[in-house]
Amino acid sequence: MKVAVRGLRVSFGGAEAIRGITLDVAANRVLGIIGPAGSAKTTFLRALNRMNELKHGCKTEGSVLIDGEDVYAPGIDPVVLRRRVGMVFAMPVPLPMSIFDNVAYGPRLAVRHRASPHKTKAELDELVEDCLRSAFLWDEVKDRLDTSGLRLSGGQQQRLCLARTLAMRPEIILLDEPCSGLDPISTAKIEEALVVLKERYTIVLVTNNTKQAARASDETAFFLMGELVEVGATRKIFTNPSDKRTEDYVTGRFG
Amino acid sequence: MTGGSDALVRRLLAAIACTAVLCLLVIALFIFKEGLPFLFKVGLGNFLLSSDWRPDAGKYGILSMIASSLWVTFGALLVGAPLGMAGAVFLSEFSPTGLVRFVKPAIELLAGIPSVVFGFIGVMVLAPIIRNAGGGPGLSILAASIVLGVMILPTIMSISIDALAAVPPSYREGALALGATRWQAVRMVVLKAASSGLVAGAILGMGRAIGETMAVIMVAGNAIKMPDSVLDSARTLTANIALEMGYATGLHRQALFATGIALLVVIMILNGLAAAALRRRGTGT
Amino acid sequence: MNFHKASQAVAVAALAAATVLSLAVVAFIIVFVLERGLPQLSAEFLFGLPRNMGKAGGIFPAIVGTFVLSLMAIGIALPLGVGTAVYLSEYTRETGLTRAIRFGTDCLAGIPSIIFGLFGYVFFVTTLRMGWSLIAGALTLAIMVLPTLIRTSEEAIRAVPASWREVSLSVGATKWDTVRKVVLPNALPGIVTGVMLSLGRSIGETAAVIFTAGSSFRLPKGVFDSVRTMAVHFYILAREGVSVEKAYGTAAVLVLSVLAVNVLTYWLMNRLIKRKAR
Repeated sequence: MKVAVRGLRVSFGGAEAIRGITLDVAANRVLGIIGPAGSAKTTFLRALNRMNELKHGCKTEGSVLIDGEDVYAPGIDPVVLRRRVGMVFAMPVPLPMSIFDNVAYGPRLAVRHRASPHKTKAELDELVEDCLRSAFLWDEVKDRLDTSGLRLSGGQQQRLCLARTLAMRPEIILLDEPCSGLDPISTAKIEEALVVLKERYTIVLVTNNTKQAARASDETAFFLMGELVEVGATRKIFTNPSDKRTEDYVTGRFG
Repeated sequence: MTGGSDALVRRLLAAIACTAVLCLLVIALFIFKEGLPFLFKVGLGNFLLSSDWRPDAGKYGILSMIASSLWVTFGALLVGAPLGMAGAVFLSEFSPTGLVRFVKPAIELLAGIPSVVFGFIGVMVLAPIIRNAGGGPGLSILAASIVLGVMILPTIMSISIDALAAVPPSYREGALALGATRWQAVRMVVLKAASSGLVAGAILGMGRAIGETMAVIMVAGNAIKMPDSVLDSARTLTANIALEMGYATGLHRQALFATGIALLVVIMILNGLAAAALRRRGTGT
Repeated sequence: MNFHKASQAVAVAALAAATVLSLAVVAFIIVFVLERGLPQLSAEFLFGLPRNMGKAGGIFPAIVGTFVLSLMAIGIALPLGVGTAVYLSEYTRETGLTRAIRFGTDCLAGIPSIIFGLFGYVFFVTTLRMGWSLIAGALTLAIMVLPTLIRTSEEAIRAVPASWREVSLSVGATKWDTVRKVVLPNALPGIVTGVMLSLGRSIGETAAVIFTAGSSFRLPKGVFDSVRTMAVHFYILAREGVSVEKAYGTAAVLVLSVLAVNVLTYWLMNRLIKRKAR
């Protein structure tokens, strides 16, 4: 198991968002998380890279073990954790810099903090190209790497964000509804990228689109109101779920 | 290597952030340190209620200067507030939209002109006119009021513009839908809704007028006497401090610091009133 | 109904007249000063040293004094102001301490310049024994412009979208990295505005300067030298009636400097905003 979540409880200012979730994520697989709005899917995702604690009043209990080590243990630095666990957000958010600098942003800082060895210009160029290729964006931007990332289309921007995340060579990639608002072609490109990426990475994908989960994930977990209802192989969840609530959701009776 | 030195940075920045408060405390400390002993020696009553200011004879009554400051400040308000607010109302409610982009830099320019230049123009242009038209020395409360009024005009105008902009469009639209002309809508609805912001602007303008030194020294005449008319020469609190600080020693100097304390107290009160007015704005009429 | 339309027309006309009057005043001031002062602006006036107690010669030391003093003051206050703004917006939420800081800043902003003059004299010049000097004047001016810098910097920093900060943190940047590489570069236009406002204010400031930097009309050689700024020089010329022509000339340089700072501000803002959009 790459990630083992045990008894996770998250509350904001006293209001409980996640009421005790225990879940495993296998290495080099895509876990899709589905569920109606307000089920705390995003909160769960952000618990894996400790982004929840950026919100004031957040309390987290339980443990999240990555490779057997609890990332909420007292000595663990969230900044280091986030280099191992990358995240793509729902809205494409390119940083206000060139495409090249966007992708190189994280690696440059890692070198500065001595978290990774020094990179020559050639090594950096290679890294940026590799990431843009993995995000299926290279061909479209290779001639204009120093134009601003803000000038790309929505779908391109999101792929840029993916490339930026890949540049950190994380072990785990978290994607929070990455295709909401994107056209079908961009969506397909991102899903295509995930299929290739899972060979090197462990992926957790939150989506509001059950069909996307069916297409892109190996395992699927169904969240409802901050609780894990059911988790299993994607085919089983969609064709023969054990819990009635799951069945109602995937067949569209509510959500 | 660790993730970061954020804790260290945070502590350093917190220390830097306290600089402003620290400066304020040190300023208060030194002004009071120099001025309070005087008040204990001479007595608050003799200081504030007597108009006899003759340091050579040991007399430190600042009443005439308090009066002068008040005359000049209210005069400035009479000049600056109508102009500033009228301009603000015109720009916000009745002017073609392009005009603001042209007027705003002009008013900002006015705000940037040094006070000594204002004072000088007051001396060269205003004072002769006043002397010829009304008699008296020309360098007078009237001259100071006009000059100060123009100086506080930008402050009042910009705060008034903000206050008017904060009135929801629905207020105007509601009045217009009932058949009011735009002027009626402004007069009966918008101005009332913006009133606390407008008042705050006026109060802040007053605060700036009462604290102004250089321009007043140049045009008010600086005579130490209780003012009888706007054509009189007068010395404000600020002018007194600035004029005598150069050569005052001992108790005299402490008296000037005590004058500073009085000034600070008045300005803090005014700022507090303005802040209270601005807070009320959110609750509407 | 005709009555109402008529009274509106009168009201609007009155309001418009008031606006025009305000603009006319600005125009008058500038024209008046420049008309009489521009003829004085020769190379000798601007770059020459004074002779005969200022009755002849130039005001070069005052020009130098003004800009050195202002730039020193801003140099001292800017890191403090931006640091405070960064702390208030990035490293803390609203607590008693932050309320105290804001209150202190607002109070500081309301203190009249003569009080700063008094304080600067008693603290920097006398107690700290700096004498009438550039450094005493710069420190005093720095405290005066600090609230402006804090306020404009904080506004500029808060305008930077929160999502950019989030993204930066998610790739393993520290908060300080984020501030340095994402927040501050993008808050620059607003911060520059604050700097320009402070510069304009410092150039025209007289009461605080005269009691701290003194009025020596010589070129400063070190930070402990006294200097005379243009505003102070102008005041002295005007009060003592030494030379009306030189007074107008100095006034013209003052007004032109303020004009230049304003124009420069707009130009810089346009440049910076255009560059961000590229």
